[in-house]
Amino acid sequence: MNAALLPALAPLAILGLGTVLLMAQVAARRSALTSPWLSAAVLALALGAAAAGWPRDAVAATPLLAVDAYARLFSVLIIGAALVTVLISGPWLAPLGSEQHEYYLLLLLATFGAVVLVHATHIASLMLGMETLSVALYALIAYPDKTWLPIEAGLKYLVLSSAATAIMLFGFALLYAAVGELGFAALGARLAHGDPMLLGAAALMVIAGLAFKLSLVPFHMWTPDVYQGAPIPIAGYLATVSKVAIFAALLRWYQVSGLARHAAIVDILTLLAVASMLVGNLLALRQANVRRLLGYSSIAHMGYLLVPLVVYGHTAQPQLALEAASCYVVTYAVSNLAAFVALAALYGTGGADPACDVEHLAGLFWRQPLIALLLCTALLSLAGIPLTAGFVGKFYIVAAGAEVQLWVPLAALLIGSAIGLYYYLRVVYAMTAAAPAPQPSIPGAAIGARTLCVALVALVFYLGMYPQPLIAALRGMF
Amino acid sequence: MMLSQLILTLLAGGLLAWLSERRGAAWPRQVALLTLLAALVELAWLCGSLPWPDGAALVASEPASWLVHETHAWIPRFGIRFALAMDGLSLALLALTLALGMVAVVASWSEVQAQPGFFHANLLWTLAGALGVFLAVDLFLFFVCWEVMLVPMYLLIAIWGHEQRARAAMKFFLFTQAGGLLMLVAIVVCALDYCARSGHWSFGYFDWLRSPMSGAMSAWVLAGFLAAFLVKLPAFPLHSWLPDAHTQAPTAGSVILAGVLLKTGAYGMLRFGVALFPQAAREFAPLMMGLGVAGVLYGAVLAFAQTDFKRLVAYSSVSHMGFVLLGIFAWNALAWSGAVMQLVAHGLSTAALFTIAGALQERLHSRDMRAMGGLWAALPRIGATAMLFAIASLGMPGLGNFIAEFMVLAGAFQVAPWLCAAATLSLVTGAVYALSMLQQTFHGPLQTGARYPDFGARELFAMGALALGLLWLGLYPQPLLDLTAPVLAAIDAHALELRP
Repeated sequence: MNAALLPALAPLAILGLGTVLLMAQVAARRSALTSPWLSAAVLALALGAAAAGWPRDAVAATPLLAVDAYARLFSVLIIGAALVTVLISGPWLAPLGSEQHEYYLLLLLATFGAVVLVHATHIASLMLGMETLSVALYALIAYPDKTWLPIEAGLKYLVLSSAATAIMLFGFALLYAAVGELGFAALGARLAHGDPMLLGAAALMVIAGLAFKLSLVPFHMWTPDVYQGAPIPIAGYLATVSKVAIFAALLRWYQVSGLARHAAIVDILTLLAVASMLVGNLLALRQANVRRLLGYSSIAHMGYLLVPLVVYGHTAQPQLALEAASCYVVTYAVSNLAAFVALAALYGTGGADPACDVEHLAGLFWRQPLIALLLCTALLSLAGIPLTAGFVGKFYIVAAGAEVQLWVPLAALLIGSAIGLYYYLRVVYAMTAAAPAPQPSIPGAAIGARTLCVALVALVFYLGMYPQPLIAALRGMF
Repeated sequence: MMLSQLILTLLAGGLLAWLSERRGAAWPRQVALLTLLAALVELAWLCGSLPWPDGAALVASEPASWLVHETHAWIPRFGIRFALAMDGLSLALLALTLALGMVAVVASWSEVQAQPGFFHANLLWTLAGALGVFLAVDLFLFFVCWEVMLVPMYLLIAIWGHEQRARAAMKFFLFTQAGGLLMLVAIVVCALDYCARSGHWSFGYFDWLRSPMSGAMSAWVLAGFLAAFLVKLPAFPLHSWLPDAHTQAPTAGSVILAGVLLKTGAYGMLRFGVALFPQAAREFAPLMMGLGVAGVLYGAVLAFAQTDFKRLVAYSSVSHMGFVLLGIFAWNALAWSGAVMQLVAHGLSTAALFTIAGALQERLHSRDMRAMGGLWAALPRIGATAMLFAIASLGMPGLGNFIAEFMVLAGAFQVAPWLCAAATLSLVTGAVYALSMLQQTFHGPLQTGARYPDFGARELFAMGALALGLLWLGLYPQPLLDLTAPVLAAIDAHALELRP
């Protein structure tokens, strides 16, 4: 490792050192004030380092990590989302008193894992990043209290996720046995010469594991429970950071190894995509709970996200498909984060499990206009209504799919979007209804939370109305 | 610059109306009225300052020959531009939009008590979207405006609608959005096809006109466009959202829905469907004319069966818009002029009828015509205006609707005499439902002893303006025909060029 690599790895180094520093601070003095601010400062610093964008050229930092525009863009997204999570976690943790510090420690650790993931160019770093992220998340999901919903969610995620990891690990072992390489580029070059039986088994196992982490049908069972049981900031973190990081790693692997050349993989992805789009949306229809609804809708969104990967398998010029995939990740993450920030602002008190029933949102537009506006914007963006960020992502996917005339996944996408509208609008409608007679009191949001709400609404509309800067950044990556 | 200013005026006015609620409940509607007035003045001033090129020189694919055009870069990655242009057809529909916007504000002057600021904001934003639809000459922008109309209208129905509003609003949104998504795919396919032929992305209307799509794909693409337009119009089998939405919407919402939003479907069909894919459109013509006639008759028959005042007017809209579909696909100058005339005349007459329905609902708290009867004695002014617009709606000579339907029928007769003969039946059925509505509501013995306030000066002024408009269209339609005929001729000439 030479000195030139230091600035390149600055975001990772800051996150790593910051985690250690936070650990030392927590050990030395347990103050309710310092740990959130210290973690926010670490994240802000890392965000600055990632956004600064040096070095300009792509650098391979060891065979494990690549520092390039791709890694930087997703690092910015991940660290930004983590920062927002820290900012909205305060009210959730307040009832815990002095037990809240490790929460921030775990959050920084998970973010570190996620950032490693988006840099990964090797199965080993992929695995390390994914496990750092997941293990921290097990604890975070069950963190706040001892009621059974979070514990159930944490346990469910722990057991299923470990099983998925084990299967994936076995798949990697088979992969290594077949080709003798684990670096993405080298692995891709030798795939054609491996033992087909071994490779087939490996592919199935790895895809199953990744599909679990991305909550694709039929590996989606855990999603609604975890979304419902986890503390809202953590559910939001899981829905954005964890999905973004794993998808970004998958996309890089897919691209660098040329996995799209293998028709069988593309076919499996097509099946997963269509099933996720339809099943996720259909199941979301029946939900009375906003968090479960978002859980099922995220299954559908992961299905949309696979469409560009399928497109990639049908074209010689994957530029548009790659842009579409990364654009959709960004717009999905921003919209989803916005939705969870709104929920967190509504149920900021923590402690008892806030039900988040759609009915409880009745009249929100008149009681808490700002939060309602944020939630409404986020839902419209998830539904893909023009002028919001979500539309740009959806437009990209439709364009990519239409270019290679991939009508079946596109039809599933259209049907899914139409179904999606129904349940998103149901929430919007509930918010516009007249408030029920005994108004459940919702404490007014603090000034900081208000600023965050306004900023996120502005971001969703900015990306939707003027996407050119984002598109230019995405084009620079491939 | 002027055209985007027009849209911006309404967007900003909406925001202002929302904010002005803090000053008092009366402010938003005044702000909204002033905003619309300002936009109308801007439009008039723009028209006054134009050089008015010779109508015969208009070429559909030549922006310089249009009245005004403007374009700004927006998303260069896909060659998407913020491009607006106005010709005679757009101008007529813009004027209609703004005028009916004012009627809508007046019609709901005292109806909306809850959240008047947000109500008027949504009203103005819907209208801004409609202006965008009538002006956009970039298909991406067109789609965006198409959707921008939708969300505020959804909120208008969902928040201020009547008892069944949840279902009606959802149905309205799902139907239009499903059609819209198909149109989005069609637009993207068309853009990809253009990109494959010319090597660069463009969503520009003029680019697409100059380098038209051909082959089997164009029929599918046209079908995608028509999915959105037929839902919006609405045409016969896709109309089921309309009676619900019109009935449940607040008065202003019904006025805008029937008067303006339905027109966007017809406009899209002419401007984009027919002009961009003339060959495919000709193949579709018999089917479309059949659907048009089916809508004409089906709407009329169902209108007669209604007991709900607003629902009756809503079904009569299905019938009247069937004439538009018939006229567009009859495809000759006479029928096209008739279709455009029908857009304006139906806008004026239906806006008035919905205003009357709203006024009755506000007074009687019911739309059920069985509970009405004899209201002429209690509300003579409302009764008189209702009679005027009911006979306009049934196609009485001397009023605009007659001219429009006559021209459509005369044009369609040259192409499809039997379909035309079937559509002519609606002159009978139209009289039946319009007169039975009048009779049930205003004639007979007075059912209720309560006293209600009649139309005041404000409502009479709005109704009078609409009536004058209809009279003008009925007695001297030539100015409107002169304004729009060159546009229609240019579209037809463009379509002819492409004929193999």
